[in-house]
Amino acid sequence: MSFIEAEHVSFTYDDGTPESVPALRDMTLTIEEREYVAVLGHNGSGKSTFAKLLNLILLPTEGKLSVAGHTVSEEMSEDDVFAVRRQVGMVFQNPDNQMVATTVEEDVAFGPENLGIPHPELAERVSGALECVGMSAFARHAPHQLSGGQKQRVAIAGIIAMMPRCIVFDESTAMLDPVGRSEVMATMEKLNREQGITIIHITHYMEEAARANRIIVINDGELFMDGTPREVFSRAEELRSVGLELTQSGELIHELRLAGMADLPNDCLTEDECVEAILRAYRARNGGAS
Amino acid sequence: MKNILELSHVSYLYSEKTPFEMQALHDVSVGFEEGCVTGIIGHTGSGKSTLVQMLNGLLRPSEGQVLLNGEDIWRKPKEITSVRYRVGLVMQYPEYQLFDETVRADIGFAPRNMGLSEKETEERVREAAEFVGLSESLLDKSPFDLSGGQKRRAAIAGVLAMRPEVLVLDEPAAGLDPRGRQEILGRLQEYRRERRASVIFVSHSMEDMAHYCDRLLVLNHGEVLMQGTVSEIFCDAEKIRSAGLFVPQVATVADRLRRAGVPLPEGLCTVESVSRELLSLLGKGGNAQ
Repeated sequence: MSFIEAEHVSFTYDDGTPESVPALRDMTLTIEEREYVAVLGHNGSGKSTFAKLLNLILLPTEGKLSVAGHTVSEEMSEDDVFAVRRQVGMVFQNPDNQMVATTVEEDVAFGPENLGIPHPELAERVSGALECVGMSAFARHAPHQLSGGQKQRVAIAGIIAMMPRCIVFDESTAMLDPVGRSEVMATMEKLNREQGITIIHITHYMEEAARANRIIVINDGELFMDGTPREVFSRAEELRSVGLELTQSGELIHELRLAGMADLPNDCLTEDECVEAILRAYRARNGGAS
Repeated sequence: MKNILELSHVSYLYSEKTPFEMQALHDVSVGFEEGCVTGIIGHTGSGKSTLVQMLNGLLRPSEGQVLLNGEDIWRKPKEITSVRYRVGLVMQYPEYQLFDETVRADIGFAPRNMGLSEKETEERVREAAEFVGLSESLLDKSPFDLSGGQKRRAAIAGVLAMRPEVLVLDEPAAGLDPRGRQEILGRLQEYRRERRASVIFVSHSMEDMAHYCDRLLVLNHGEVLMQGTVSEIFCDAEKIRSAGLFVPQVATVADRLRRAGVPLPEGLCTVESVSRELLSLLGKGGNAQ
């Protein structure tokens, strides 16, 4: 069984009322444990609704959803709901809204303490989680003394301390400066690589999405694309049609191809690939010189 | 070129003379050229938001002067309100500041406060709403019933309705998807062109800055690290990195190509300029392959 299995899942806000708004329609997909998935889509496409279904903040109005081996339904016992939430942690957009305590270590301890983790283990979990995100030196600091990227890493530590199998990042890099963004990206990739935690990263930054192993594109509440970054970003015109774009390297190659340089590959993702492809084309036209 | 706004040796201390005193800006001298789109970049805590709040007199410098058209805006503190009409400030996440019963009333709040007639106010509201792409049918809705992107536009329209000579925005595109970003930032350039205004905005997206700005100001720990044209700034990747920032990916691509022997000019930092230069070098052979 996959870690997440969605079969024809729909979600409508205010279902059954005149104000009902369909946010997700007929989503069918599976996500395996240890995957690193990016989710793209325009504002209002249903990305965050999807995220909220995964840890039962919302329940599907139609279709069948199972998360971490539990079938999601309104009849679920409270114990089962908490069992799922313990497996699927969420990190949100605004770091300031996620701090609950007056020191970093108390903040990280909040989640596991509520799970009833006893004392020697609690301290171990907190220090382990802080070490994992590179924030051990700040354990006794007040959250307001931290930068945006540091606050997000503390929020991530608070989730890790509950030992989830999956973490959903809902635009967790949107409010950060470039360094903060790369700190959070490095942290999520380390968790995936070293601890096998399933990562679901919702973002508007194409460069970030290109680093995942798989990209899901949601458009107007429906699954629009699902594939590797290379597959997804080779479909430039379709992405543009739903308000998205390519990475800058991809955009450059795409422009050059449109202008007639058909020998360039259409699936360049990274800076390295882009530089190599253009150099190859340049040397081919200059008789292999330089 | 003439500076529309200028900071001269400006310093700013938060909670001055308390144990929590914190220096946010230190001896900042910088000019904003008239008719330009100027971007402000810098790490979190570098002083960007403090600086933009100086520009319309929301914060008063602890030391130094803010000059609008060469005149100290604090010369007559009681008249600071008139500066706020001339320098329109859109704060971070301005949609949280919508408050009135209808979108129309919200956008009309500033012009009405400026003492304009109902007729003139109505005209400004319509003009500003149209400018940001809010349809007439939305104007009588509650601002709280709009989508996130529409709320952002309504909030920006509320400042545009003052027809400011200088439009200042703190992260106007934060949290928007690529198309939403292009629309908002494209509108800012349009406002500059149509009104012959000056635009100053803050962003963490170096790609957006390269694309939409003429000039850049780089802040680092409350001090000015660099100021100049976009090309001048992004030429010095090392210095940019020292301030905790990056150059746009495509600028790095151009730089690496040049080092590998492709004769590209320096200072290219947008997809358009790099592809144009490459095509003029290679393009002739492009179709022949």
